[in-house]
Amino acid sequence: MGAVTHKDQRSKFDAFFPGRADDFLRMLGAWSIPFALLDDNDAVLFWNRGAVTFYGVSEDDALGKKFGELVGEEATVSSIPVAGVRTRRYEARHQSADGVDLPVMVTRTELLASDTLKGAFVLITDLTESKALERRLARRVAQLSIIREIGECLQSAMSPERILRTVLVGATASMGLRFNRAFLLLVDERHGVLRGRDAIGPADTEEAQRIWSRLSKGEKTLRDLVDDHEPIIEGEEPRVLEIARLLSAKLDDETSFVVAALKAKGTTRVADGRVVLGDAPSPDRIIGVLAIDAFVAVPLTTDGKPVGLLLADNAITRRAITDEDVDILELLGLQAAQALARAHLTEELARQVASLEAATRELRRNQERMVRSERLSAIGEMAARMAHEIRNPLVAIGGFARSLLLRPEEQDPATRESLEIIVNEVRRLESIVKEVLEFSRPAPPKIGSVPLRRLAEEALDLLGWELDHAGVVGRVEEAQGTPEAAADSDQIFHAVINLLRNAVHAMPHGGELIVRLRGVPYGVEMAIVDTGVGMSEDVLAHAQEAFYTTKTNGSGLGLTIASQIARDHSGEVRIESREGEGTTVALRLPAATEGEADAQDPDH
Amino acid sequence: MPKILIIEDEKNLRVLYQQDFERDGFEVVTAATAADGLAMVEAEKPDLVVMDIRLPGMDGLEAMSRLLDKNPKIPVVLNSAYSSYKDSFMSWSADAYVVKSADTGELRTRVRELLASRTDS
Repeated sequence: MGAVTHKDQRSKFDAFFPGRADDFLRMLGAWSIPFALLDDNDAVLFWNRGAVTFYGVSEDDALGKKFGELVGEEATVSSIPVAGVRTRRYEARHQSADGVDLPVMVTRTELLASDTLKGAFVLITDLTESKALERRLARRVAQLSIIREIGECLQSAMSPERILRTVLVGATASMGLRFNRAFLLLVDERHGVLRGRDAIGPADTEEAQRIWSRLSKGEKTLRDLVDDHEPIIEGEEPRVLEIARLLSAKLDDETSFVVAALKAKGTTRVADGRVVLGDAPSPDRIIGVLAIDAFVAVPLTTDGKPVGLLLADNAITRRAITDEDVDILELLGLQAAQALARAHLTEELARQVASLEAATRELRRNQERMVRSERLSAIGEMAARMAHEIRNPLVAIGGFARSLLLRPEEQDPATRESLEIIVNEVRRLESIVKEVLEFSRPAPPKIGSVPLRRLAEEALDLLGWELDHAGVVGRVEEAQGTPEAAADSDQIFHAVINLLRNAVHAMPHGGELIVRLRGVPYGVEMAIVDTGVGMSEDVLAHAQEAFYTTKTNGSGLGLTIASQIARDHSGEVRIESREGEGTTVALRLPAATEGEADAQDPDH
Repeated sequence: MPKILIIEDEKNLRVLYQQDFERDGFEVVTAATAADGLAMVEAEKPDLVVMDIRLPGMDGLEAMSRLLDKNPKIPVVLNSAYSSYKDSFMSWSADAYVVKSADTGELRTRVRELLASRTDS
């Protein structure tokens, strides 16, 4: 190869490489890169092996022909002038022998001697490979920018539902990964199920054409598609959702393809009905559900724990899934998993904030309840006490006046009239006293079934700071079979708070505060036992009277109020105390019967 | 002549009740404290007891339960300025509960009824 046959051609050629022409031509002739030498008329002087193979034109046919006629039209891309040499570079298309259109790059360097064109050196580069590379590169760049856009969408998606939507739209949208359909399955640990949660894609070819023609009219952005509630599918429940549900499997099902794909380290891929990537049991069931024998399954993991599975196929176009498709889907899966983990954290945080808020509200409500009922009780107790003090003298006054009226023989009419006035006025006063008493009485208890243990624990919690401050340790003991009380939980709570406060105040240097619960005949008893200063007999005798206090900071109403509340419940308060040893205050209430247990008080 | 024991710490009311019940034809004995009253039950063997609930020293309800422990058949009428005791299950063991009033009519009627039903049986 590489021999130059025409003598005169040879002589012209000798002019370029004086003395060394043979060596050069032998070397260039063996090149597989297409290469030619032209004379000053563009006629071929040299045609190497690469050119023969590439153009399918033999050396004999090529020599002496115009190069432009051999390779077709020129299209100049650039021209690079060099001192003594002019180089032009252009892309051209060449039709190969088997009819394929090949892109080529022609680099043509003109050879000059003393400013006169002597010929040209032409190098032909096959661009088929690099063109394909370029296209792939462009597609890669486009896909990566899609992934970035999906990522931005996911960043702003707070709810798991929106995250699912975004991932699915990203996987299927025409400006996205262009899968025909995508399915998301999430782990439901409570029920031990990998559950098909959402899906996007047309049900069949007909629907696909309708959807894609609609989409092509106005290209929407990814965000627009996610914002649409039902981005592509109209009608009732889309069939893909039904398919998604059919993909669900029990997490302990070892024969399940999707469960194996979920637990796999990487992507599982099925082509031609066989698992070609990853290690999973037979995909036959899934193939049946999807009605296609090629698909990809990407596990979603957060903190190394599988949380879901992203499954995609091209069931409509039947386009083969490429390695690149899989790479990009994996990237999408990574983002989806992160977004889901973030949404989960956000939800958890919101839940904790809500429960904290609820606790704060409850605390405030309890405090308000205490303040209100204490103030009301104090006013009421004072009014009641005054009314009672007035009542006994009134009974005496009115009673004696009536008594006198019963002896008419002892009175003249004027005395009689006076006595009648006294009787009537006393009756009026008595009715006023009665009204005051009824007004000042606390509302009749709303009886429900009250678990005293919880109530006592709540009361101790509420007084936690006061206990800590006084160095008092509190605890609740409940005898077995202690019934619930038939009581108004709010009122009893109030009574218990008062009794516990008294107990704490009796232990200024710390001590032990035990709330003992037990059943008694027809009732239930809450004994509040302290290890405090105790009471003398004299103090004990007055302890239940209103405004009686040995404390400098108390109203003296705590025990009175507790006793009053107990009485309103048909119960009682009993006190036992030894000076220097401590006090036991026992609050007895009727027990709840079965019927009352049903009428639960909403507060407790 | 039936004998009534009045346990009442207000002196003026003791006098009032004594007058009224004597006029109704009863024999009346009185006590100012629960302890005295319990002693008088033993000494005087009354046919009926009218008692206040708020009493110095011992609570009227406790005095009543002690009284009934020893003399379960004796009728007891609770006569209190406090209507709130009326619903207390401790009061249920009394035969009648009357809220104190200048009009002693209700109290006297209940006493008469209780004594009448007792002699019937």
